[in-house]
Amino acid sequence: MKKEKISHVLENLDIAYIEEATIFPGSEAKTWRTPFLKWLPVAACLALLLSGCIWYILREPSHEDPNDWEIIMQYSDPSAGKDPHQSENSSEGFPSSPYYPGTTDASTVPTSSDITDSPDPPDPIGSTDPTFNTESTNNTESTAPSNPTSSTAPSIDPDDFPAPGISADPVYLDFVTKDPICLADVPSLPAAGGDFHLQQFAFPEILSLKASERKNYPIYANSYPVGQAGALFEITEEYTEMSQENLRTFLTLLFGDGDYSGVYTDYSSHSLIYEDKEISLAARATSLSVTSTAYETYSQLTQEDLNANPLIHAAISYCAIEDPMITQEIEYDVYGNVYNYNYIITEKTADPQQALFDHTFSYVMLHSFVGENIFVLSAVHVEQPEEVGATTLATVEEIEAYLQKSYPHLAEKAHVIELFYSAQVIPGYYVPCYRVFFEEPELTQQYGVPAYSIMDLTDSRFLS
Amino acid sequence: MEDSKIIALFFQRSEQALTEVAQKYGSVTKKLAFNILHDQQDAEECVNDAYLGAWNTIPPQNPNPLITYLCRIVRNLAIKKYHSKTAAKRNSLYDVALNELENCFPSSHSVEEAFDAAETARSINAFLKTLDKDNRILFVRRYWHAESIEDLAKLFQISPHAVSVRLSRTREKLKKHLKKEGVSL
Repeated sequence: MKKEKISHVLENLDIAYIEEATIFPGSEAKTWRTPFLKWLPVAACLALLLSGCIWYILREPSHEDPNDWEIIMQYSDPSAGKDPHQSENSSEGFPSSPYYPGTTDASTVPTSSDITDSPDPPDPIGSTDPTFNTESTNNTESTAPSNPTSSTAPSIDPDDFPAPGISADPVYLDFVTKDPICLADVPSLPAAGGDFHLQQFAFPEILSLKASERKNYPIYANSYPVGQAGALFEITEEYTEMSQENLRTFLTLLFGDGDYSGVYTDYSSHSLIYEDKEISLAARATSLSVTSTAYETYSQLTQEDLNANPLIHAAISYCAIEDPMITQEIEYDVYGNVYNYNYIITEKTADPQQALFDHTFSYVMLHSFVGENIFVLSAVHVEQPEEVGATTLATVEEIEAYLQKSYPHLAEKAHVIELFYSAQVIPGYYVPCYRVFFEEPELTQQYGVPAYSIMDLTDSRFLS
Repeated sequence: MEDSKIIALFFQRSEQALTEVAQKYGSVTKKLAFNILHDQQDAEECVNDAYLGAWNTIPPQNPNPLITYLCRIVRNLAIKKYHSKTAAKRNSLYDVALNELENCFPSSHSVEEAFDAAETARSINAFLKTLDKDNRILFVRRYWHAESIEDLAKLFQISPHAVSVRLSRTREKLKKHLKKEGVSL
């Protein structure tokens, strides 16, 4: 009855709106004032890699009974897309890598037969979501700064830089413990975005430690957290100067020596914007992002490209990377077509802890969009992040036990568990988190590429 | 053929007008009818009836644009047929769209509250006016044309997920708007 009424109401909609919708020819490729502006939102998202976070109400840390698991959000499936926060801080900053080969072994993936009294979370398997695949390649060769071409741009009044925001003031966080780690799901907000993408960055050497050998890991301050509303920190004169210095440094690396004082043409939120005919650059205190149409996109970034492309070259120099290692990720859309190639360039190292650090605080990320001939590059370089706490890492066994208890129907599908630092969990901090990848055989078969759904976990005390 | 020439054929009472309409707008109108009826045969019957309706009303009507006029006829006929069908038909895109909208409308708390379709439509029209063009078109295409999420995604060149999210937000706004205006069904 109610539907009939609604149907009747719809018949009385304004004819003008019906006409408007009926004759609507469909969206075409958006026409932007400059091609760079089209990618500014992407660049902004990349900027969020630095320091973005979501506000959660903090409760006093308490050591919880392991049997009293706190489920904040039961499942973050790929259909929810990636929250801009999340992508900025927790995942986009991490490179892809081959799947952790040991996690599919029966000995490391528990069965679900012995847990019957756990909550019954929603089943994500039925979701019809996009897929992804990753491939990786490594190259090692150092690069040198590119030759310059001079560029000037009109300056604006530095006083126009944005007004102060909210200040984040980290305090020391002590989550070191010898007891089992209580885990909880990292809340993930659905984003108003389209296709999701995933990164994989497994550190089995770290997570496979036995409980008796468990390690303590530092918690770092995130001096410049960014939320959906923009900067969550106070934009001080020092921050502005650091941003300008970063801009000058990068332009010098890109174009050579010159006077780059006040060359920024605009500002956006907490970024200084520089634009010329070939690039659009957003500079912040500890990072920058560049969009450009001037260079070929890469389906396979090679060591030669690192030297040949002045933007990449300059970014590597900016991050002080001497022996670059390239990790490639290929993203697929819902139809199984490649739509994006991502590359993360970091300092080559055999130390997983150093690699984890580098992939959080010193890396170059390149997004190469298929068919668009535009790529977005971001460079993050935090020289000495402040350690403001410590936490004990969970073990793979603890993570698997949590999955078994909370998601018994998913536990068997757990394929990879990776460790990463996230700025999403506690505003103003980078804390260790664990990303679990679940096999999605039906989607894999449907799209013809390996498909996985994901769930992020962390120490429940971070969320309490 | 341009709409004006097709209209001229109608005015000339030339049956060529129906041929031209079918050729130019056949796929659009059939799709609209199918969205609602979820039955190919019913949809074709509906479209043919709509052509007859256009033949009977042009002239004196001189619709511009013609496609909107045809779509309104098709939709009205399709809705009528839809309501005459049993629950077996209640799996169409239109039914899905109505399900989505249902929660936007607060239920009447008493039988005395009279249902006024025109007044409710006025409130929705006012709401649509507050939306930006894209979201307004998205709303109308979804709930008036009963188009699928996938088709809308292609139309707007965004992902199906993005369409769902945008529609969800619009419905939430509509719900608040209707509640504020005291509209109930």
